[in-house]
Amino acid sequence: MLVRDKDQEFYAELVRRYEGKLLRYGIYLIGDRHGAADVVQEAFIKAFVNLKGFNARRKFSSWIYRIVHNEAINYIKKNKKTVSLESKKGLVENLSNNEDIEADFEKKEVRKKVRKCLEDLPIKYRESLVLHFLQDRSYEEISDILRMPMGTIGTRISRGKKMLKRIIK
Amino acid sequence: MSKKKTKIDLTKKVMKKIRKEKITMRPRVYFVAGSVLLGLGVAGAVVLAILFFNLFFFKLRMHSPFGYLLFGRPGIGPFLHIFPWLPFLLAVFGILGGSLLLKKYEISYKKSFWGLVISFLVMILVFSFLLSRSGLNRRAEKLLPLRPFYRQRFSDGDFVVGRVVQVEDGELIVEDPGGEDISVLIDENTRLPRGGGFEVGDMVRVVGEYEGPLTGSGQVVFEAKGVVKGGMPPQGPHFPEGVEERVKGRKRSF
Repeated sequence: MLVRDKDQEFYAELVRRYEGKLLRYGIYLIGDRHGAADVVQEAFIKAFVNLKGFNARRKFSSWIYRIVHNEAINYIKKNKKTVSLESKKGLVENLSNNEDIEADFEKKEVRKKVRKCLEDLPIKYRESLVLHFLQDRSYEEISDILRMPMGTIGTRISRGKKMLKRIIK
Repeated sequence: MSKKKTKIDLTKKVMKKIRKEKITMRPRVYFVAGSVLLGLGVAGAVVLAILFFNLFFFKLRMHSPFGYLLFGRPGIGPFLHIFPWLPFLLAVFGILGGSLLLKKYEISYKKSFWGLVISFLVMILVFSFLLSRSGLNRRAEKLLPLRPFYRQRFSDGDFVVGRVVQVEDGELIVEDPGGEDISVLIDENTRLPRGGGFEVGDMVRVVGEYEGPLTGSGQVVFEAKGVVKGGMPPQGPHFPEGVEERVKGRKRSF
């Protein structure tokens, strides 16, 4: 990779490319925009420090999502009470604004419903649904991000959808 | 007050922090060393588990602790004493350590992790079982540094293992691996799960309790609650030389 070997400043380009998506992912997990920003920033720093350990045969996106996921889980564990309160009121508010979301997503209807009801889902279902429906990640990529077999990912998405339906009703 | 969200410029913040705090990338050798250590850790855990399961199977076969359970409640204490806990626990530790390290590999989530752990376990058990039958332990127990792993006490407050050297009415003289003669008293309450018919030269295991030296010769007396044949291999290395000669010519049935 060019970033690893030549100019560290190219890293800025990578950060620029992923910051929006990762920030939204962080907000979905944490429910707090500023907390998510801290988490993503910390993830980018960790990714920079460990960049030479990245296996270039794998997808960078899966790797950086994995780091954000780990950081977010640590953040949630550390701030359990705050996160659950903030996420109740903050998730929809933080994500209802479409200014950062690409206009060309396919699952518009699902996305809208998911966004409103996600906050009531346990995180293990929420993260799989967010990655699949809102971040357009394939099962294989989600498997790499969450380090779970693809079958488990499929089950979680399927169960999560059922739970969401119940919440919507 | 405006509720409009301020845009967070993460790129700027991240790069500023990297420059300001002079954060550098870890060298490639750090990750190579990590991979090598991980590989060595898994290999070490596998070897540890195989060696200790091998020792566990060997000791189970040599000392058959489950045989004490034939006596019912009086056999539980000796069973707990004879059961090879240390090799068993060390082998389990190796399995757990290896499984934890395996989790670091990509394969652990690409394939079913439990399937992987079960395959890992089956492989270790098969290898260690075959190793325990290979004669390696017979050679290993002669090596000084390994002797503590093979050492086994064959008598305690509530059991005795040894070779019958004399048979009398209601009494067996049993020589333990330390070379000490023990007078084992047998009465109508003594359990004989596999029947009597003890002969000079038989290996026996006895549960019960010591009575103390009662005979004039100061011989130790053990009141048997149960006696059964077996308990040590006939070729066991623990008997002092000359025992075979001692029992010759004294054959008699009880």
